[in-house]
Amino acid sequence: KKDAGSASGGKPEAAGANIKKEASSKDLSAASAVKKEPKRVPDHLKADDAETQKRIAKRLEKQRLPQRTVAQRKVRLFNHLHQYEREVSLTGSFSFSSGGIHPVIIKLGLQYAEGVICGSNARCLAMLAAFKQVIQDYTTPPQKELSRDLEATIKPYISFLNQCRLMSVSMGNAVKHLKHHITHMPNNLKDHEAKKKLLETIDSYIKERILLSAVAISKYVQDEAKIKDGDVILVYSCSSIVRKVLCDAWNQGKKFKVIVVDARPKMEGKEMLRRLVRAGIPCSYFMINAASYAMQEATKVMLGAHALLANGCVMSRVGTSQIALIAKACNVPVLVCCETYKFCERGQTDSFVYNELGDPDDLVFIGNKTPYLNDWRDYNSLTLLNLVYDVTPPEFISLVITELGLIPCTSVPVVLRMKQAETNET
Amino acid sequence: MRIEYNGEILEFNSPVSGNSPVLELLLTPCVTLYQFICHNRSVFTVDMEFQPIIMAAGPGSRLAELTSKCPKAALLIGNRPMVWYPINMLEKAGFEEAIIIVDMDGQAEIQRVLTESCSVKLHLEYVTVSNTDDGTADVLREIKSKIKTDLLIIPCDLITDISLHNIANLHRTHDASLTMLLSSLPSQFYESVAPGARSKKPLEKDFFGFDEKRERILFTQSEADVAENISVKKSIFKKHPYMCVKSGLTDCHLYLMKKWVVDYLVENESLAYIRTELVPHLVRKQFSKTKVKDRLPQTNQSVISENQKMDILKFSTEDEYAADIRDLSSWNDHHGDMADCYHGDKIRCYGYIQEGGLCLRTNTVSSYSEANRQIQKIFTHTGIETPHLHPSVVLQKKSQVGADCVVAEGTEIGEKVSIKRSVIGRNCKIGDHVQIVNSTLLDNVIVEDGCDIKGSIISRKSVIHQKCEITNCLVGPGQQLNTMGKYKDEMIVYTVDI
Repeated sequence: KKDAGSASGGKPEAAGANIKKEASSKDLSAASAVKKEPKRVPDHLKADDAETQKRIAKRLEKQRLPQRTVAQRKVRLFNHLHQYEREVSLTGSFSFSSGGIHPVIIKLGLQYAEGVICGSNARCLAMLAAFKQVIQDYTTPPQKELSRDLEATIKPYISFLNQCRLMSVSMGNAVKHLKHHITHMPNNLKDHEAKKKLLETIDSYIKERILLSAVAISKYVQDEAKIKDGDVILVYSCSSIVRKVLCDAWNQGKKFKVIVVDARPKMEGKEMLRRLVRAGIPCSYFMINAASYAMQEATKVMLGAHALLANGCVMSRVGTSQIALIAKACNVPVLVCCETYKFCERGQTDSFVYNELGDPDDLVFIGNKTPYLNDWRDYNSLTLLNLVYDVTPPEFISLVITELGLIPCTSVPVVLRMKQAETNET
Repeated sequence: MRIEYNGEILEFNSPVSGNSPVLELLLTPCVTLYQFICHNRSVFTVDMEFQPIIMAAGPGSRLAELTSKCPKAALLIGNRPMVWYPINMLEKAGFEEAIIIVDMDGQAEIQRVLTESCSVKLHLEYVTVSNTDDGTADVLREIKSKIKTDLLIIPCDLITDISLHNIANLHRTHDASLTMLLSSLPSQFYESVAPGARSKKPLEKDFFGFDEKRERILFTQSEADVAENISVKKSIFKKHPYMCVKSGLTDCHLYLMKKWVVDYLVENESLAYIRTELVPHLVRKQFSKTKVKDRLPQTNQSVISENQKMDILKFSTEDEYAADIRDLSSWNDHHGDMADCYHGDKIRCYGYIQEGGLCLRTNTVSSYSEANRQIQKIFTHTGIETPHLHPSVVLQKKSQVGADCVVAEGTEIGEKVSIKRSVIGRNCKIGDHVQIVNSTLLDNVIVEDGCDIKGSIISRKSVIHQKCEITNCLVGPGQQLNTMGKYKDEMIVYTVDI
């Protein structure tokens, strides 16, 4: 249901904003008529709908969270996505008194906004570690139940983290898992027992689905001999799982070379390069505009993913789809390493309908040359666009390596169904 | 019987199952008394991020003549005690409680002055130092049991309009061990001549070395410790080839400190002062490596005792997943070498440089007098609204009080009086034909007719007899100046009673 909705929301979007408004208003009226039907287009994709924005602003005010200043100039095509101006201080309105947002969450939000914690796995792990601290410090108020009150406490925290930086799919899945366990907590348990149980759940989620999955993926790569001696593996930008796989394979004694392809503005490839070279792997470093030249040398392409969508598409750092396209054109197999907790029920066919808009000022800095775009705001006809993610269609992907094994791209709904059945059992 | 205390529920089972009204009658007042005590005891809840500590026990050595009779924190600036300004800053930031460290003698005076001049909403817990020779770090060691979370240490003489969340954000983002507030020196405050002094005292500078982002502090040294050259270890240069050294910044003595620093202080008793000893120690220890035990005890030698000095790195514990998160994250604070994020340093010291805004320390006579002269500017910056002329002031005709002055309640001003850039305290009596420029008059001062006071500080209960001319003087409390006296650049203080 959701993918049809987002697809239909995508097409009129390309045609013009008016048609989108009609569709969304129709959706709203349809939603109000049939109350049980879920919203076809979620709230955070309606940045151009004034009514939704007013509702969201009211909710933020009730939760006493800061409202970020909306960017003055956005590309018209992406009007439905949120883009915020870089603020002097996110936490300006927070007082230091106790009983507001938990300080661990404030710290986490700041680290997300500054980019200190970057990368799908890192963000999810940091969020779960923060929630562990929150649960440890939590005491159920009298006359209230832990299962309801804890969820109500966590809600503003999640809104705040969303305000700092849009939540990743991995974080969303982890929060869903946590909320499921909170709401299904039996009421007869004492406070500290319930908390202990929740902490154990979080610990086991971290251990099983994040940390050990990486080990399992690495082991699959090794067992199935996906990296052979003499391979030249092309990687794009920085992915923690790909780095782990390569370092483990090198430590096993396989002899291969790596080509790191990097792109502006984040230049995360430099960090990938540093870590691989420190492990002893011989590497080359290319910028993405030379990717087609680099592809002639490569025997395999290994990519990381932010999320795997239900229609088989891979959502990853912007530029990944280009690498996959060039690889397909040069007949180079593309392997995607992805843990199952990043699988998403959403389906997307393009990168426009759902994306994250980064800070456009990041594009101004071009190294040693004079920054020509320094005063881009003075030119009315000039707008900068800094997309963070893009979507790679399943035709370009040869194989997805997960901790459950090597699966084709299109098996994502199967895995999701299986995981759903598992959670319903517990 | 169930009692609710601080979110926890305590249940008392009645010892006798049947009705025992006598027992209940005895128990209930005890229980309510217990509740009363518990609720009124200052309890820091776990959710508090920073615990403010105001250091108001300093002897005020550079304000010696003024602090002979009253503690430094109670000296009035703009008719409010000096310590009120940091308290106001904490209140505005939303803090609800603070610990204030006072001297035994000074506590009563500070409490009196605070309640008299202004309402303080912040709940202050007064802690007295037992030993007057204690340094600021010794004090932290003493109150270790009261410290539950990270600290915010503020001196009593800091006047600033900084919003604390800016420096707190820097501290939080990088999970720093120590963050300090640095500000550029406002020149007019330090170049003015102090009343009573014949010459300018040169101001001591501090040198700070920053990394390329101007956030992390790589070394700090005060001018007094520097003979001719500043030496920096080669290992630090290897890690941070780009270093920015600034000499125009003052340390405002406002620190955000992690809780483990206090635990380390307890262990390491050689550090007595925060600014002169603890801060440079922490900055140096950022780059210390874990000591490797290279000499194992020989098998045929008996080990009688080993001097186990606690390594600071054992105290700087991180959260359980912090190392994993840093490993998974693709961010690095520097580029160009093979080192990990933060070079793997567990201890990190950061400095927040405040550009613009107001930030000054009134710990010398010159800055104290200049603060009083610029009081209206301070009031606008810190958002205090005080009428420059209190409504109860009696002002005779043909007298002029400048808009940049502050006159407190109960003062009587005579005819043809001209007051410019000055602060007049409570219940003063100023006669006719008096000129007061650039001066500070504290409470209960009597100025008789025809006087001319320029650039001076006149302390409490002094009497200036007729036709005195006072230029650039510092008059101590309870002094009497003769009629037709001419005083210039003098310090007229309390002479010792024989």
